[in-house]
Amino acid sequence: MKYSHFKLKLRAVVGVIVMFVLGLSANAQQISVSGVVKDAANGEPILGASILQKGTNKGIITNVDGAFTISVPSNATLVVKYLGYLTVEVPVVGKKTIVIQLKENSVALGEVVAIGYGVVKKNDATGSITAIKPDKMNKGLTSNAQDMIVGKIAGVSVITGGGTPGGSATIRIRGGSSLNASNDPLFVIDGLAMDNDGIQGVANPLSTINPNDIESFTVLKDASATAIYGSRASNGVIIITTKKGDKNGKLKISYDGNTSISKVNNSIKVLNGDQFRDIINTLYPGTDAKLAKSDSVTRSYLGKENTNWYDQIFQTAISHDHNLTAMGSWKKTPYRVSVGYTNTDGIVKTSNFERFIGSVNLSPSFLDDHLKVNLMAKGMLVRNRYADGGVVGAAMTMDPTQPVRSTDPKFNIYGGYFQWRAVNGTNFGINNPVATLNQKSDVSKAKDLILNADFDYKFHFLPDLRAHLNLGMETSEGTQTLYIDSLALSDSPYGRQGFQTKSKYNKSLSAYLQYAKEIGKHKFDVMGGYEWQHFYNQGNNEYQGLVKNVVSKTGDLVGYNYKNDLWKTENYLVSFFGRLNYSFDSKYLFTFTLRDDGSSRFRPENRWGLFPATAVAWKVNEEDFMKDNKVVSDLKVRLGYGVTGQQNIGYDYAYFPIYTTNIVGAFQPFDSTYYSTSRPDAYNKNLKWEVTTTYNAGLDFGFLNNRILGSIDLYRRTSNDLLNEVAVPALTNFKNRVISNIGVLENTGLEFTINAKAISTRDLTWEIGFNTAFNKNTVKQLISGQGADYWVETGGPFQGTTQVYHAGQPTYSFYVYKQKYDANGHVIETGALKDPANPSAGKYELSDAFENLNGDSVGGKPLINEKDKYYNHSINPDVTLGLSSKLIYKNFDFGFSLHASIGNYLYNSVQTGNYYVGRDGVAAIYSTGSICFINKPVSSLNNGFQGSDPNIYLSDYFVQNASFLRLDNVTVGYSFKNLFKVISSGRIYATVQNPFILTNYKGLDPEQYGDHVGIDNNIYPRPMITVFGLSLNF
Amino acid sequence: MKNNILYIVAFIVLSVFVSSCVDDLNVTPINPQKSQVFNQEEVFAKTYASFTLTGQEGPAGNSDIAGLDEGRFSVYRCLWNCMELSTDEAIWCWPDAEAIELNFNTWTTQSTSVNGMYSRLCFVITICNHFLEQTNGKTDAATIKERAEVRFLRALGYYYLMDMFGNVPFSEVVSTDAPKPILRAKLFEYVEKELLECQVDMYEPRTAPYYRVDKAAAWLLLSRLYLNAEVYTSVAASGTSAAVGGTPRWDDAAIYAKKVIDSGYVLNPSYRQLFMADNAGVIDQSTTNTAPQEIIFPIAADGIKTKSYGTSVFLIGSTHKTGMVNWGSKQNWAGNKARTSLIKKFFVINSSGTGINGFFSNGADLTTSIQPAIKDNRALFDKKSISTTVANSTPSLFSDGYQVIKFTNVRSDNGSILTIKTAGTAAAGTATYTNVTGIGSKSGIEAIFTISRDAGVYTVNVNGKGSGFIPTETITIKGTLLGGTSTANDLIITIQTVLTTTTSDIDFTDMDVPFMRVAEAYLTYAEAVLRGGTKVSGYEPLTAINALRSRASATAKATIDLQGVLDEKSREFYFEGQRRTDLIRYNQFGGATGVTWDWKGNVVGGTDFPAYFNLFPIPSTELNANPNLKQNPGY
Repeated sequence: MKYSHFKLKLRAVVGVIVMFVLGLSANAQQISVSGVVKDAANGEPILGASILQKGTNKGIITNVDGAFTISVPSNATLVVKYLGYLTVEVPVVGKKTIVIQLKENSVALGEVVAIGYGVVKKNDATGSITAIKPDKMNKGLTSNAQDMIVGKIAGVSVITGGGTPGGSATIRIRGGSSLNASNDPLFVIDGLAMDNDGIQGVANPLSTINPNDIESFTVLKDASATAIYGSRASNGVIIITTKKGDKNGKLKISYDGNTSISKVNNSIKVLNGDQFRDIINTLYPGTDAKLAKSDSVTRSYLGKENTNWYDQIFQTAISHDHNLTAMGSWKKTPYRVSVGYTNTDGIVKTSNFERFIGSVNLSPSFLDDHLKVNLMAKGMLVRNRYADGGVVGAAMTMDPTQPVRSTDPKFNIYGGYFQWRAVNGTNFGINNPVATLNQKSDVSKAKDLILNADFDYKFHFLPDLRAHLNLGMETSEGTQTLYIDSLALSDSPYGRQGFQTKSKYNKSLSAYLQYAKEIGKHKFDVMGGYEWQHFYNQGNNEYQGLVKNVVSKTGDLVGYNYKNDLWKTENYLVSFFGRLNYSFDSKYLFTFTLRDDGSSRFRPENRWGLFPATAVAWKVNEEDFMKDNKVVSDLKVRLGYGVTGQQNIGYDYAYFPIYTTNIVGAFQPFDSTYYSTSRPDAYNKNLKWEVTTTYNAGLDFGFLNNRILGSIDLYRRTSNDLLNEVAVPALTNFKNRVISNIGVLENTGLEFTINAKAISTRDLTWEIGFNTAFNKNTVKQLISGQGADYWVETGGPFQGTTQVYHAGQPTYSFYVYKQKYDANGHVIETGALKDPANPSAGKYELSDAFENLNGDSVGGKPLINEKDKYYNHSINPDVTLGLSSKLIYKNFDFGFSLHASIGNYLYNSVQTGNYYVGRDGVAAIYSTGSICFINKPVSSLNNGFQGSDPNIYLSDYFVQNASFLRLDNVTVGYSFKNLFKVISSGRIYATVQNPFILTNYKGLDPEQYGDHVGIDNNIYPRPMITVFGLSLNF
Repeated sequence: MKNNILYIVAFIVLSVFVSSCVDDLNVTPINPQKSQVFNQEEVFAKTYASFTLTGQEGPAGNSDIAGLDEGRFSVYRCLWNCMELSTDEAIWCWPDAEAIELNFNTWTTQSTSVNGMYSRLCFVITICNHFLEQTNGKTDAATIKERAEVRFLRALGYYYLMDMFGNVPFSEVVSTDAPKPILRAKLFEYVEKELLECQVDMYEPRTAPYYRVDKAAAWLLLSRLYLNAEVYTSVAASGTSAAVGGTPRWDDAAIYAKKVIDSGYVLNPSYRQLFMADNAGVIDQSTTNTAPQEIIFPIAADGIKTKSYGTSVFLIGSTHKTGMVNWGSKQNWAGNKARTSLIKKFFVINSSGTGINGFFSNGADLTTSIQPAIKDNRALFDKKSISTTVANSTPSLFSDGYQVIKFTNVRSDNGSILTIKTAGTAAAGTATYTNVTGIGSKSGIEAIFTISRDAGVYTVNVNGKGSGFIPTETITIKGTLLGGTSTANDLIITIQTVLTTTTSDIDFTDMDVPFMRVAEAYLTYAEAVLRGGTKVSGYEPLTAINALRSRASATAKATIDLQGVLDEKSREFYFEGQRRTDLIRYNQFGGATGVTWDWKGNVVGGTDFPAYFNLFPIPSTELNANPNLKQNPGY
C-alpha cells in the first residue's frame, strides 16, 4: 500500500479523535502493550487501524507511525482491523511489544474474479467485468438466484416475472444485441456452459441453483472479456461460482430460512356490483327494438351480489424456504453439502411451487497439490402447480353482480358454480374463474441433475504449465400433467386430460493447457484449448378427453380426441480457443483471445466462426507520478475490442430442406384411404452467424484508499447479419416468414458505477452503491436492396401490426397512426357514430380519426393507409438507474435497493382489448334471454369507446410512457453471536419486497416481461412480499 | 498411485477427444416427424391438403403460414370471406377484423383478410411448384397423372390470385429470388395454357379416386375463366373498372361448360344432400347420399382424420347457434347470417315491408311450410328457432335476421352424433318428454343422459331402460325425483354422448365442401350463350336453367335473361364462395351505382363504394418484402 501526505493527515485527524474518545475508558490496572501495525506487503506503517481487546469494547487506533499503546490483561487477545485488510487476532501472552502485519484484503482490488476458462485478479482484468458476491445483509427474497442481481449492476437489466411462483426472469446485458435470436446471456456454472432452454417447471439455468450455494456472480459485459466464449457470447456472459469446502476446515453447519407473505397490492380496477348495475341501467334504459323486448328484461339478468372476483381468486400467499449447509474437510478433502427446500404459494389460489434442491461439492487435491480436483453434483426436484392464466382476465371481466356459487339447481351441471347459460341450458360467456381454478389441475414435475468434474494439473517437471479438464453434463426431465373436470364449462362434457413431457441433456467437455511465466518485468500467460458440446432435446405432448365408457357400463374412462406428438432435436458445438495475457511492469496489460466455433446449425460453408478479441489496460496509479497521490488510490484505463457471435436461433435444422410429416387429425383422403402428408419446412441455406463487434473504453477508479470505488465504461456494439424471422416475398419459400440474416443493429452506451463506504467506524458503517446506464439502440440497416421504407413486423395487439424494426429506429419501435382528438381532448374513434343519439349523422372515418401524415388523397378525400403510420418510441429505456444502500449500526443493519427506468414505452394492449364499453360491449346478448354481462376496466369506461373498427388498434393513443421508479426491497436485520452455546452467530431479518412503484403508466405494471416485448397484455399483478428470515451458524 | 491417476486422466482426455470430433457437426434430423427425403406420395397428398387443411396437425398446429390465426385464415375460409362477406349474401356478426372489413367494404392494405388470402394461395402455388420440380422428368403413368393434377391445383391457385389481386408475383419454381409481377392479362393466358395442357393427362371424368380431380375439373375452371375473360384481360385490369377493353370469350365459356354438362357428372336429385355429413358417399358405403355424382372437386373433411377450422366446420359452425334445429355438431359460433338482399332472391317482401310473404305463418316449420310456400327447396333458412327480427338492422346480432341452414353435419339418413341438450319445465315428481328434438332416429344409437334438477338426483327412465338405451323412433325420457325439494324449474337433460355414431365427431364435421360442382356449368353455359356465345348442339340456356330449377322443385321459367341467370346463380350457389366474381362480371360491385344491399359500404341502407375495390390490395407486408411489386391503384 502506498502512502501519501494527505492520507497521513486524514488518518492523524481521525486517529486523534478516536484516541481521545477511546482513551477515556482505558484506565484499568493492566499491562501496557505497545506495538506497530504494518502492511505485510511493503512494511509500511498503517495509520488508523483499530486495536480492540477481544470480547470488550476497549480499543484504540494507531497513530501516524502505525503505533499504538493499549492497556490490557496479559492474557487478552487483540483484534486488529483495518479497512481493506484481513482482520487478525493476536494473543498478547504477556508480550509488551508486538508488531502486527496486516494483509491486504481489498474485495474490489485483490479479489480473484472468474473469467472464461480461468481466473484473473480483479485489478489485472482488461475487460469490463463486474463481480458481485451475494449480499447477506440485503438480499430480499431470493428463491431464485436472479433476484440477487436486480438493479445492482450498471447495464444489466433483470426483470423478474410477475407473481407466478417459480417464474423466470428476463436478463439483458447492455440492452441485447439480437432481434429474433435469443438475447439471453450465456450462463456458465462452475465452468459448465449451460443450455438456456428450460423444461417444464425449470425456467432457466439460474433456477437450478440454490441461491445459498452461490459464491459469486461475474458478469462479463464487453467482447474483450466474452469473446473467449465465441458464438454464444454476444449477449454477455454470467459466470457463477458455487461455494466450496474449506481445506483444513472444521465442520461448520449453518441454516438459512425464511417465511414470506405475498399480497396483491394492485390489480386492474374494475367496477363493483353496484357500479356495474348503474352502468347497465344507464345503457339499457328503455326498449330494445331488436329483441322486441323491453330493456328491463336485460336488466332483470343482473344479479344482486357485490362480488369482488379478484378477492375470490387472489390469496395472501405464505411461503417458506429452508437451507442447511455443512462444510468442512474430511481427511484433507474439503467438502460442502447443502440441501434446500422451498414451498411457495402463488397469489392466485391453487398455484404453488415446491422445490427440493441439493448439492455436493468435493475438492480434493492429489500429488502434493499438483492435481486439484473439484467434483460437483447438484440435483433438484420441482413440483409446480399452475393456476390457469385466464382466471385473472376472467376475474376482471366477470359480472360483479353474480355470486360465485348458486344454489339454483340449474347450475348443478357445472358443480354448483354460477356460470352464464342460455335459456336452453347451453354454456356460453365468460367462465367463472373460481370454477376454473377448482376444476382444473395443471401440475408440472421436473427433475434436474448437473454433474461436473474439474481437473487442474500442474506439471511436475514444469510447474508453470497447467492442464485443465472439465467434464460436465446436465440432464433434466419434466412432465406437465393436465386434468380438467368434466363439469368444467371450458371442456364440457368430456373434460380433458393429458401430459406434456420434455427431457433434455447437454454434455460438455473442455480442456486447455495454460503456461504462465514471469521473467523480470514481463509476465506471460498463454492458454489454448478445445471444447465440445452436445445439446439434445425431446418432448411429447399427449392429450385426450374423457368419456364414460358406456359399452362396458363399468364407468371406465376412455380417451377421446387422443393426440400424441413426439419430437426430438439436437445440435453440436465444437470450439478451439486460446488466450494470451501479457503484462509489463504490472502497469501495462495486454490480452488477446481467439475462438473458432463450429455449430451444427449452419451449413459447412458458414459453419465456422472466428471470434478474436484484444484489450489493453494501463494501471495509471502504478506510475511513479501517481504513487504519491493522496486522493486517487486506484486508476486504470481499459480499451477493448472483440467479436462475438450468436447461433441460438431457436432451430436446429434451419439451413437444409427438411420435410415435416403430419400428425393426428391432418390426413388427406383419396377415396377411402387416408394419406400422410409431407410438407417441406421453410429453410434458409445461407443462414450464418450473427456477428457482434464491440468497442469498449473503460476507466476504473478508487479514491481515499478505495473507500470510493467506481468505473465508467463507454461502448459501441454493432451486430451484423442479425438473425430474424421475416416476411419473405411470396413464392420464394415454404412459409411466409423465414429465419434470415437481415441487418445491422447498433447499441451505444455509457455505464457508470460507484460504490462508497460513506461511513466506516467501529459501530457504524454505511455503504452506498449507485449505477446508471445510458443505452441507445438503433437498427442501422435491414436487408440491403430493400427500400428506405422497408420494415420488419415484430408484433402487435391481437389484430394488425403496431410494432416494427426499421432502419434508423430503435428495436421494437411502435409503428402507429397519429391519433386525432376532439375539442374536449377525447380520442376520436374511427368507425364510431359521430352522434350516438343520431345515427344518420354518420361515422368517423379513418381520416377523421388519424392524421394524414403524408398528405395524399384519393377522390378529394385524405387517403389513410400504412404510409401514414409513424415511428413512435419503443420499449427501450434511455436511462436506467440503480441505487442500493446498507447501513450497519452495531448489530443492526438496514438496507434498501431501488431501480428506475426512464424513456421506455409500452403498447397498452389490455386497454385496447377491453376498450369497447357500449351496449354490446358490456352485455353480450345472444338471443332473447341468453345474456352474458361483461365487466370493464374503469380506464376503458372513461374513454367511452363505441367499438367495432379494428383500425383503432393502430392508434398511437395506446403507446404510453412506461418510465418508473421501483423500490425493490427494504431490509432490517439484527445479528447476534454465541446464542445458547450451540449457535456461534446468526442473523434475523425482515424484508419488504416490491413495496411501491412510481409511474404514470396507465397499465398494470410498467416493468414488462414475457414474450411480447413492448406489447403489454399483462393483467397478472406483481405481489408485495414481506419476508422474515433467520440465518444460524453452528 | 501418482502415475495411475495421470494415466486415468490422460485416458479420459484422449478417449473423449477421439470420439467427439468435428464430424459431429454434420447433423441429420433425429426428429421422427422430420425427414430429408422427398416422399412423392406424401407431398402429392400435401398439394391437395393445402386446400383441405391448414397445417401438419388437425385441427390446428404447425401451420403452413405464420403470423395469422391458423383456422381463421385457411384457403377456403379466406376465399369464402372475400367472396361472400363483401357481397349481398353474407354478413358476419363478430368483431373479428378480417370479417368486419369485408362486411362493410372497408378493407385496406393492412387487412388480415387480404393478407391471409394472399399468403394461403401463394402457399398452394409454392407447394405445387415444389412437387413439379421434384418430379420433373418422371414419366411413369402414375406420376404423369399426379403432375397433371398438381398443375391443375397450381392453376387454380393462380386463378384466384388473378381474380382477387390482379397483378401478382409469378414463379414456377421455388427460388429465393424475389419474383417479378405478371400482368393480369398475361396470367390469364398462363392459366388457360396450363389448364388446356394438364387436362390431357388427367383422369377421364368420374374415373379418378374420389377427392382427386379429373378432366371435368379442368373444363369447369376453363369455363369459369372464359366467362370472366373480359374482366381478367381488361386494360383496366389494374382494377378501376370491371371489364373495359377486355376480350370476351363467350364461345369458349359455352363450349367448356357444355363439356362439363356432358361429362358424366350429373345434378344430384337432392340439393340438400350436397351439403350433408355423408356427402362423400364413398367413405361410408352404407349411405344413400348420392352427392358425389355432382361434386367435381370436394374439399375433404373428416371429424377424426381430416380436421380444420377452415373448411366445413366453419360453414356449419358459423351459421348455427344453439336453439336451432340439430346440425350435428357442438360448434355454434353464431357468426354468418344472411343479408336481407339474399332472402329477397327467394321471397318477396310484403306490402307493409315488415316481413316476407310466406315466411311468417306462425309455427311454420322449415321443411313443411316454408319451402312449399316459395316452391324452391334451395331456400334453406331457419326462421322459427331463434330469430327475433327479420331486418338485419344490427349486423352484430345473429338472431336479428335470417340464419342459413344449408350446411349440416347430419347425415342424409338423419343420423348424427348426438350432442343435443334439451330442456323443459317440469312439475315436481315425474317429468315426461316425448319426441326429444333432434335425437337421431337411426337405430343402434346408444346414449347417456345426465339429468339434474333442484340439487336432487334423478333416475332416468328411457323407454323402460336405464341410462344407456337404444332409441328407436320416439323416445320417452322420464325423470323421477328421488330427493330434494322441487320447484317448477328447468329440468336439464344433457345427452352426453352416443356410441355407435353415424358421424365421426361431436365437434368436427364430416361434410366435404362441394368446392366445384356440376351445377355451375349449367349457369355458366346459360350466361355465356345469353351474352352472345354460340350454342353447343343447340342446347338452350333456358333448358340449362330449368334443369337446376327442376331439381329444386321450383317452377320452370318460361324465359330467362342475364339478370335472371345471376339471380338463379345466387339461389343455387349462395354461401358457396362465388358471389364477388359474379357481381364484378355483371358490374354490380365496385364503382357500380344503383345496385345496393343492406350494409353495403357500411351504411344500413347501402351505399356505393369505389371501383378500385374490384381488386383487393396487395398486402402491405408483401409489398414491403418484395420491392418488385406495385400496389393496385386506389389503395
